[in-house]
Amino acid sequence: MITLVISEGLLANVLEKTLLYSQVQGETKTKKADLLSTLSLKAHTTDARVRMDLSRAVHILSDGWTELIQNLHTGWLQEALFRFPWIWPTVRKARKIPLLMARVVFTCHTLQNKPSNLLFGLRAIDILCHLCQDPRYCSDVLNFVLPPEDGQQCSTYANSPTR
Amino acid sequence: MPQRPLESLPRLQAYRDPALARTEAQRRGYDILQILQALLDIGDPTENAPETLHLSAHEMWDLQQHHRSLISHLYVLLPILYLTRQQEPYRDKLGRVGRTLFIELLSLRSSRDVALPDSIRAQYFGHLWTSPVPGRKTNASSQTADWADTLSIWIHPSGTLARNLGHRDEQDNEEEPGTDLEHQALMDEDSQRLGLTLLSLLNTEPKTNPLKEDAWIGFMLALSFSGDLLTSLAHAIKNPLVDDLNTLSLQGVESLYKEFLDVK
Repeated sequence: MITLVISEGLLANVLEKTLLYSQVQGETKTKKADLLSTLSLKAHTTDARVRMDLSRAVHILSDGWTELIQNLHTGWLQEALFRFPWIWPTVRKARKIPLLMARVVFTCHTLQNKPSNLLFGLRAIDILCHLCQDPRYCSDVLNFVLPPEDGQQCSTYANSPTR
Repeated sequence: MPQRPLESLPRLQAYRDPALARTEAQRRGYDILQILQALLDIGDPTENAPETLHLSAHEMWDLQQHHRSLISHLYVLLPILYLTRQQEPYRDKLGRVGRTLFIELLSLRSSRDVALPDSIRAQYFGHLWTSPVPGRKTNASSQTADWADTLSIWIHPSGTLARNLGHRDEQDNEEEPGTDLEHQALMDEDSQRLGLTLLSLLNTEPKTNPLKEDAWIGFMLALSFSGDLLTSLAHAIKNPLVDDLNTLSLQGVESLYKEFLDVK
């Protein structure tokens, strides 16, 4: 049934509305979105419709980069990348790596004021480290962190077949 | 059954039509109208209404017991009667009067200072799947399916299920000439609001529902397995009939699918 719930588009609808209300009405309640996101990790992703809806969720959440949405999505992404290897290209297309890096930077800047941010910052780092296991994604990370010439060099090394 | 003979209620005579009340379903449709009318007459005995202040403690206790007894019959009868075509000509009135009153009943709280409904609601919903109905062979799962269908229709009154079960057609046919679409839209908004409210009332926390146990969880899981209810809720979230139903529709998600988190 969880698979049906996700495949019927409920997750995407709830995420869209949650973002809308947080932007338009200033609502900060993400409990329902969090519930469905958590449930989605239990769905059978052999169903194409489920994959489509989860991919849609990744793109939707990329548009809502408030702190609460960040935290919601970072926690989900950490699990999803381990469970669903097929979602990695979607994460790349949704330009998640710059967003995750921004999350880490945000954590560094607000650490003294909000200790709880450390957890989500660490999660973002964990996701980036996980993505770095694949040379293609590692290149993305390095290109973002290092100066262009160094990043290019590291990318070449990372993609080297003799490595 | 209620302690007081319901036939004695004077305001019910308007509904009495012996020529029509022939089948069992019609008879039960009449019964439930009696219950609704009795509830309207009694009001909310848990509120300190001026007209009940003169009652003794014993009389108040009797009144409250009667009130609970009515609720216990209403929650069993309403969805079942509301869904079948056979209880015509009462169904339309049941739908309009019953659902409004029903939500008011379920929203009862012991005092105005309490944020959440009191244990009466939890108590009766807590026994929803186990309460036998005399003379009716229904098991818990089919009752739950009736509830899921009822909620689906309330939340999405113009949806496929509502049309398949004849609710929309019946309402359309009943509309008198000159009644515009605006009236129908208002009816639908009211229906969706009450359906979503009922769904949010089912979202009880353990502290407000001490009876939460396997049976309760089973009931909620059975509700959440309804594809029609999922469709209605998803439609309501995407296309709420009124803007102020946005938050309520999202709360319905939490009510309906929260128990999934603990399912292995």
